[in-house]
Amino acid sequence: MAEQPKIAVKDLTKVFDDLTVLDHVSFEINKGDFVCIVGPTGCGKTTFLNLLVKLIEPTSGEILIDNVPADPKKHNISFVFQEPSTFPWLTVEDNIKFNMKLKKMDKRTMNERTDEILRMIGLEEQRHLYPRDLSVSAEQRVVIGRSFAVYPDLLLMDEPYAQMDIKVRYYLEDEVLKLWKKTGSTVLFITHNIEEAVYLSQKCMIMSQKPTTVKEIIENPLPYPRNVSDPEFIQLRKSITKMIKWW
Amino acid sequence: MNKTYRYSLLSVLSVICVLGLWWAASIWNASLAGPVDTIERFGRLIGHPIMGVPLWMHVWASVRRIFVSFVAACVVGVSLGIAFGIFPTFKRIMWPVFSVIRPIPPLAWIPIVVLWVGIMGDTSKDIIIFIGIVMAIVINTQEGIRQTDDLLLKAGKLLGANKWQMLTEITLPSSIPAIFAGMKTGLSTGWMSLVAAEMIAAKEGIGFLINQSMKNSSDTALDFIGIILVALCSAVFTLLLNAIERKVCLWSKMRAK
Repeated sequence: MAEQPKIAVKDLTKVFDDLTVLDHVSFEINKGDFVCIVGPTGCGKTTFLNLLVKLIEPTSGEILIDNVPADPKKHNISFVFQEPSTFPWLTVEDNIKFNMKLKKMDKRTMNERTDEILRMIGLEEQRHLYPRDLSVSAEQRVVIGRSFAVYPDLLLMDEPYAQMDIKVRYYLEDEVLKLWKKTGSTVLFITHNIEEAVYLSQKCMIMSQKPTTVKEIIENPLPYPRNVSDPEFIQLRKSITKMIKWW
Repeated sequence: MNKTYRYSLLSVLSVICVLGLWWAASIWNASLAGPVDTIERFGRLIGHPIMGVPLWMHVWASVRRIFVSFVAACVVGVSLGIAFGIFPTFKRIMWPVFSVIRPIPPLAWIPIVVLWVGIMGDTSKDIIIFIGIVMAIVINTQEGIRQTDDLLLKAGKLLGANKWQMLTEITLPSSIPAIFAGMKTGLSTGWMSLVAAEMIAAKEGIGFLINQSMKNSSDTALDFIGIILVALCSAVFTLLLNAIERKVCLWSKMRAK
């Protein structure tokens, strides 16, 4: 029997006034997949994530998670925005716990998970600091830790490393892979950086120019950890670049 | 000389300058009491209390009134501010009424309040001071809630927070610095209202002392004692409020120093 998809997007269309942003988009994602969404700037990647979590309503079509319509109140979904969304009045530790508290997890599990996540993101010593005392990259690590702490069924990441320099980005990309492997969550990662997409993903979803459709979903068979200077890596990166070229 | 020491020295110098100007003004205008006259009058006030009420009881009467009114204004002001901030329908109905009442000076309410609750007792004074404090707290609470970072609201919603959790875990904590700012503004308006209310309808209090100085126009020293007492009491309240704010808003970049 074929595996039931974690996410099924059926004929999703979003029109803002006269502008069609998403045009009958359909695809499926399996449980535990790490999928990167790449496409030209302004093609509607963020609109797609916002639809997925019901921040906006689709014009037509539907998004199913585990075969029922997507709903952040029913599904265990986490979201990482481009800008760090730490809560400034909570310490690093309490920020990590925030999501677990909302989900009313028991105290012991909460403390164990917090310790584990803090260790994995390397912020054990900063656990009692407030976000104002952290760098932007450390703040984003807290948000990513907070998102993974509930072992989400689905984690959506909207260009979370866009503001980071290349060195920090490599470090954080390894970190997110570690957390993904540990929690077994399904991750949808939006990026305009093709190298990042090839480095992270098991599958790369390539979006077209507006009105956006899914151009192709490419399997990424390269074993982890990946090497950006590996010829196969470079080859894959080049072929994806070719696919999203619109100029 | 380190920075803190230099700043402390500048603060002391500014006080000395004010005292110097006051002294010069008293030389220039003989009917105005100078610093030395005021100290002498203070000594006489301790020995011969006005209306038989010792000075500390006048101060205590004012402090008690401010404290009671401030606590009541905090409870009502924050609740009303939250209601304006989170219930759009309530805001649409009540905001025009509030906007009309808000600019009315607290003193304009004195005749109505006195008619309503009587001139005797503390209630009339407490109500006037309450009106003076509550407006700033309502406005700041409402504004703090309205200005909650959209990104944090989105994050809360996406993490599955219900309406109660959105209020208690996100909107209210993020509004705390604005609420404290409202409390501080309200407190200074409260002291203004207190002096005026006590000048009109009281038998004890700092405002009453100031009123007594007006009855005897040559007793400007008593007026200065009242002014200094208001300044000192107000400074103590502000220091306490700052200390609480520092404790509650450890995280804030804008917290009191």
